[in-house]
Amino acid sequence: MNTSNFHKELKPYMKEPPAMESGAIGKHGKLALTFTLDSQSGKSYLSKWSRQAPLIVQQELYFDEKMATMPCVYILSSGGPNVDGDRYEIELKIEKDAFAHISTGAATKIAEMRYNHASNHQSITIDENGYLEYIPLPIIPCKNSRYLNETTITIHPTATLFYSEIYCAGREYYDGGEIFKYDLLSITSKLLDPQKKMLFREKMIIEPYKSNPSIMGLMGNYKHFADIIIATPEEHINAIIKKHSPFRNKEMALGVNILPNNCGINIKLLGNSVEELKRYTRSICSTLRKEIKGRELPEEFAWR
Amino acid sequence: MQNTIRKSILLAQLCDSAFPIGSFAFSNGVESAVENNLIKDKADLKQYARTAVIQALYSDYLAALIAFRAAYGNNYKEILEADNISYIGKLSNESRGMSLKMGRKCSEMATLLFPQNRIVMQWHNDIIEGKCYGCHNISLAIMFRAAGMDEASLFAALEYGTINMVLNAALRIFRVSHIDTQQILKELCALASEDYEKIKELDLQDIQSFAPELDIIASLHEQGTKRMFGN
Repeated sequence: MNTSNFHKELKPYMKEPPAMESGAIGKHGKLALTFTLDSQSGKSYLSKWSRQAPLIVQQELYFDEKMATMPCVYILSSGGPNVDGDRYEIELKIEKDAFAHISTGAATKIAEMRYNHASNHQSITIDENGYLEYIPLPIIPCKNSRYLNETTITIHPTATLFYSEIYCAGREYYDGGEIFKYDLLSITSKLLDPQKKMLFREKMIIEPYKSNPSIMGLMGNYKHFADIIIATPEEHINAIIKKHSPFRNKEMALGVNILPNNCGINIKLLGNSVEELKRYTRSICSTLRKEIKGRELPEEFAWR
Repeated sequence: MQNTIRKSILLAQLCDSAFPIGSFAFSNGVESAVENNLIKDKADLKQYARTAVIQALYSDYLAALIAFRAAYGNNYKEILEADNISYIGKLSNESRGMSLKMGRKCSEMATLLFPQNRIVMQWHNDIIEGKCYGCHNISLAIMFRAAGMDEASLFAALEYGTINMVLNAALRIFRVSHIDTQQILKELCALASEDYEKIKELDLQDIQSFAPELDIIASLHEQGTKRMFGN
């Protein structure tokens, strides 16, 4: 897959690694998950499921104490960190009235790279009245890593999505601290209606060696950031904004912006503690779940 | 020589804060930046204005250059694409509102100043009929093309406009002198040629923006109570 035609920022990072070539078997993870509602039991379940290593999932589990009918799936990568030349593709589909909670089993580490880059292309489709919470654990880009994360969301106007990513500045406590030592983070999110009309597009490119992210207005005095997209019918937007007003203090800053075409909300969270960003992200998701499903999110497991 | 003088005067006219498209009534969130101690002195103000340029460089300025070239080549479809991607890429409701208000006014002015230009008239008509969003950067690009200005002049107007908007708002809220702001303006505008080089070969799919702290300031401004203007 040659993504450099669409993402010029990848052009310096297309040299083939001398070990396994980019996208080779074992470096091309694919995952396609479809969730369907069983109208008799009221349970949503993983109805279709295909995977290609290093991306794996096990069967859905129902461990959510606040919502026993909610299928919970953790995406795992058997290869450990994303390495030079890894290409991942994830397709998530929520059928009419179905719902699901998806996360990752561990933080996504982007390993040090010398030749190529790693990429993750995600396609999320949510049909009428569907509901998805997609809250992967943080992404940690190591020194000289290059990572592209591109997400295309197609959502019915009655459906709801909570999608968050936490991007760390690097391995804070390794080798004296790797803060903004990565080469490239390229993040694209697109939100489309079912007729494929693009309602919102955001692309962020961070290249710390070219331009210091720690300046006023970019990251300021904060190290890590969370990017949250909530796509939901217009009538639910105010409840979220009312509960999570923008603020800025020394430890954390939060901004809430209504997306173009009233298709949802974007929340930006900046902070110096990844744990706090995780906690706050879940609290926003809990507000959304309460608004849509009438239930809150349970406490996060102590080991996560 | 006569042509150069004519174009220089036209550029001064189109960039003047008195040009009636309402740019004097927007602040780019300076009130919230001051209130949140982000801007404390002249150096902070300079950095804030510079970050506002960085935020717009790969988004609004780039889309404007593409629209300008599309107007030059009579490619109206590409103008609409540039307008669409400009609008759907703006996170803040207020900045979308600002862009649309100024864009509409700018297109109105263009119909009065350049009524013979077919694209100017079609563009204004499409804004009125809701066939396009009508972002300010695109209206400005179309007007510059109609005025016979070159791409570099358009870029200069865009970068000057962003910096000037921040500095003019700061003058009214913050302890900074007109002399200070003129120095900042000169220093920041000296970077414009270098900025142009960075984006001149990019296209619509390269549009991007990374300024999360400014996004947060925009959100604080939108939902805050301290503001200089009633928009």
